[in-house]
This record gives sequence, structure tokens and C-alpha cells, in this order.
Amino acid sequence: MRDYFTKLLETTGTAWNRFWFTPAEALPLAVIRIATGLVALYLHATYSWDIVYFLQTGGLLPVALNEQLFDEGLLNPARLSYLSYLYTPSELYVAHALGAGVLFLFTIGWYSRITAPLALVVSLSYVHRAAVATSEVEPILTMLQFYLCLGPCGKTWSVDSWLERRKRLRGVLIEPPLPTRFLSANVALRLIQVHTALACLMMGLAKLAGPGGLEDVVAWRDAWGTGDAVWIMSARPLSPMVDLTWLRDAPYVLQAWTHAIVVFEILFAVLVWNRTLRPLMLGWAVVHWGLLALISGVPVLSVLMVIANVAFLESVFLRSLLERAKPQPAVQARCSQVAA
Amino acid sequence: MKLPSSGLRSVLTLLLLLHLFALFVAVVSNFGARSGLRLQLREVPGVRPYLQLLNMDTAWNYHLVFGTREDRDFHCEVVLQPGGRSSAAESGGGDRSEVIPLMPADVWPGSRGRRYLMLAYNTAANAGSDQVESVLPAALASGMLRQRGVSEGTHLFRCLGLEPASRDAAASQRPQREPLPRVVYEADLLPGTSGWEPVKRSDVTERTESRSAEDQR
Repeated sequence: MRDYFTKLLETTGTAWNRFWFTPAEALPLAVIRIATGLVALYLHATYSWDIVYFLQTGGLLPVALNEQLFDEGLLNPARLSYLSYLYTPSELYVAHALGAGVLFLFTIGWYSRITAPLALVVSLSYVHRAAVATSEVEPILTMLQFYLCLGPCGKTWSVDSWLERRKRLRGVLIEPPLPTRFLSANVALRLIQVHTALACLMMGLAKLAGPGGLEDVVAWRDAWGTGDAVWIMSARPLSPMVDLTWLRDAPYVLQAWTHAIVVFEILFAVLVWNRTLRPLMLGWAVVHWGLLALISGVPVLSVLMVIANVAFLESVFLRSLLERAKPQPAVQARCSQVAA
Repeated sequence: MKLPSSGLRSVLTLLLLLHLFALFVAVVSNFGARSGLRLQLREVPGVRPYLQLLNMDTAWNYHLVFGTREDRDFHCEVVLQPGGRSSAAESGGGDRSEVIPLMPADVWPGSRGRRYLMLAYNTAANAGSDQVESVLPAALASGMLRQRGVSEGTHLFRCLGLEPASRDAAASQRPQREPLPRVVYEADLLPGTSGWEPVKRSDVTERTESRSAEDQR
């Protein structure tokens, strides 16, 4: 019996160490940084029209609003945002422009160790200040940004790495290059993987669980059980990105799509950990999130979930993809010729 | 496989376990029925502020639709009443009433529109809860009227639920009118000391907007 528990502890410890502490390449983090940064910039830019209308003194969302709505005896979350201390349009516009600058620098990978936490502060400030206007998108965005702060997301495909390379070529930097695998990269990637799988599982379980607390249970039809959910999403007047109501004549397609959504979200959380099935699940994820973006009303959520899935890709595979995307030497030569 | 020192691994393991525990608390305390134990877990020192600070105090249980009244798209508007009159007959529209929609008609891009939809959704979600149902309408109405330069009179704030079309009706091939909006929350707006104060119309629970009012809009 004692041997069994000794062996169990050893096996668990070894598996834990292998999972969390095997150094990993920073390339997937860099790809996630660029993609997440672009999404954060886009969301930030969409605030440009409304920031004054929403946040100025006498705007739609006064600072006291969160305190009144989410009173749990805690600090008003809006107080955690620097935007809560700015009141005039000019102050808000300046802060908005600076925030955009920080997000841009984070995206291009300039001093990533500093700009990544700053970019997280920018995004969280908008979330906390305008909590009542946030949707399913923001928790996934800030989750990715938080984990990018933990790893060396600017070690490659960044201005930082380009500057370092240039210094080496000029002989300014003579220290040996740093190792290409990092413990912190693995921890950040693993956290993104675990969190993404958890979020996906919860989305699936929520659909199976139903709303709960229904007043009129007899009249309720379980939209995810009967296969009506996709139709309901498509038929909402304001939310869908494209009009798919022509699918009304194909009830089996609507029902199959509905069930496929639930099946995927439950299966993904389990099967993505299997190396053999992982490519299949990641391919399915792209199709799933791509189609859901059309009708869910939150296409950015789909984009972010696909970005989060990059954490599951092997660096070797990612590098080969990126190499293929690079211009071929012949094309480069032709471009130089044209430029000359 | 070169592992870091055991000291570093121990520290990292502790931090990872703390973080994973916080995630566990976030999921169990926000998903499904909330038992006493699950709510007590939130009270473990530091957990709730940590989750709240990082915007992780959620169960990520995004169901999107449920086949309930919450599936509707919601829309808020202020109906300006000339002369400060606000009887139910006048609120239906007419030549003299002007409607200020919360979401501008030409809103672009999509994520911007989503924010307005979420404001309307939260207004509808709070309707019926005596503690908070007037909080968001007061803030929204005050902002909308201030933007329009309206500082006096008595006006009307309402939140409408826009039903998804039924598949049977849509498949019947007959020319269909759009489903009628349903009034989820309706309140008279009175000028107060700090903006506009909504006084809920007590006779309104939830009703379908009249066709004539819809046509006039």
C-alpha cells in the first residue's frame, strides 16, 4: 500500500513537472501577442466615438453606477480604472490616445516586459470603468493579456528582437544570445491552454444546464436540446453579423449545427489534450468559431478563442507556417527591382 | 529535459495552485445554483479581489441563447414629451413626440453596437428587481437627455425587447410583419437633484407594443 502511494506521488510529481516546467519556445506567445494586440487595438478604437458620451461627467455611465449595480461590499471596480479619475472630454481623449499608443507598442513588441502589463492595465481600465457595457469578449481578451505578461511574448517577432539582431550585426552587443526555450513561456502557454479548455467546457455545460430559475417551466423549450438555438440566434433582429434566416427551410441543418456546437464545446475541453486528436480538434475549432461568429452577435469572441487555440500549436508547425507565409527570395528580388 | 531548481519549482507550484484555486472558485461560485459552501469559497481572503481585479470573476458560461425572454435583442429609448405631459396615450407617439434611441441608427463598427446592446440588455435584465431596476435607466436617461440638451419636462424612458422571428412563421412564406417589440421596462422621467429620476409605471409588467405605436415609430 505504501509503495502504491509513493509511486502515485512520484508519477504525479513527474507529470506535474513535465507539464508546467519544461521550457518552451516563445514563438506561439509572440503570435498570440500580435493577434491579441490587434484585437485589443480594434476594441480600443471602437471606443473612440463614444468615450466622451459614455464616460464624461454626466455621461451615460457615471462612476457611481457600478457601486449601485454590483454592491458586494467591495471596492467599486470602477475605482480600479484610471478613467474614473478623468472627467472632461480633453482628459478622456488624451488618455484614450495614450492607451492606443501603449496597445500599439505591445502589439509590435517594443519593450514587451513593460508594455504587456501596461496594455493589460489599459484594457482592464475600460472593462472596470464601463463594466455594464462589456460582453463575453472582454474576459477572454484580458485573460490572454494577463498570461502574455507572464511569458516572454516579445522575444521573437517583435521590435525588441529586431533591435537585438541589429545590435549583434553591428557588433554593439557581444553577449551570447539567450536560450530559445523559456520556463516562463511554457507556464504562460500552459495557463492559456488550461484556461481556454476550461472556458470552452463551461460554455458547453452552460448550454446543457439551461437557464435555471424559470418561472414558467412548462412553456420553456430547451433551445439547445431541441436544436432551435441556432435559429434563435440567426433570427434576432440586431445581433447576427449576416442574415442566415434563409436557413429556415433547412431545419435539419439548423438542428445539426446546434448540436454540433454543444458537442464541440464539451469534446474540445477533453480531446484537445490528446496529441493525436489535437490537430483534428484545432481544425474543428476554426470551423466552429468561424461559423458561430456569423450568428452569435459576438464575432470578436470567436476571433479570440481561435487566437487562444494557438497556444496548443507546436512551435515547429507554427514556424513552418510562418516561413511559408514569408515572401520567397525570387519575389523579394523582384520587389527590390521594382523599388529601385 | 532540464528542469529549474526545486526551490523555484516549489514557489511556482504554490503560485499556480493559488491561481488555479481562484479560477475554480470563479467557476463554481458563478455557475448554476449557489450553495452556501460555494459562496463561502468566495470569501477566502484575497480571492474575490484577485478575480475582480483581473476580470476573471465569471464562470465563462456563455450560453448565447436559452430559448427564454433573454434571447431577445433589447433597445432603449427616451420619448420626449412636449409640455412635460406623459400620459399613456401620449407616450404612443404622435406628431409631437420625439424619440431618442440609445443606440444611434448608423452605429459602426459592430463591437461599438454591441456595447449599446449590452447596456439595453442589462437594463432589461434588471427590470423587476426593485433594488436596482431604476439605476441604469436613470444613468442612461440622464446621459441621453443631457446630450440632447433637455433639462426640463417629464419624459418617458422605455426598454423594448425585439423578438427573434419564429421559424414556423418565417417558413410559412406569407408576407410577415416584423415581430412586435415588447415593453420590458417603462418609466416616467422626472427632473431630480442629480439628473433624471425614473418613476416606473406600476401598471406595466410586460406587454406587447401596440401596432399603431409601432407604425408611428
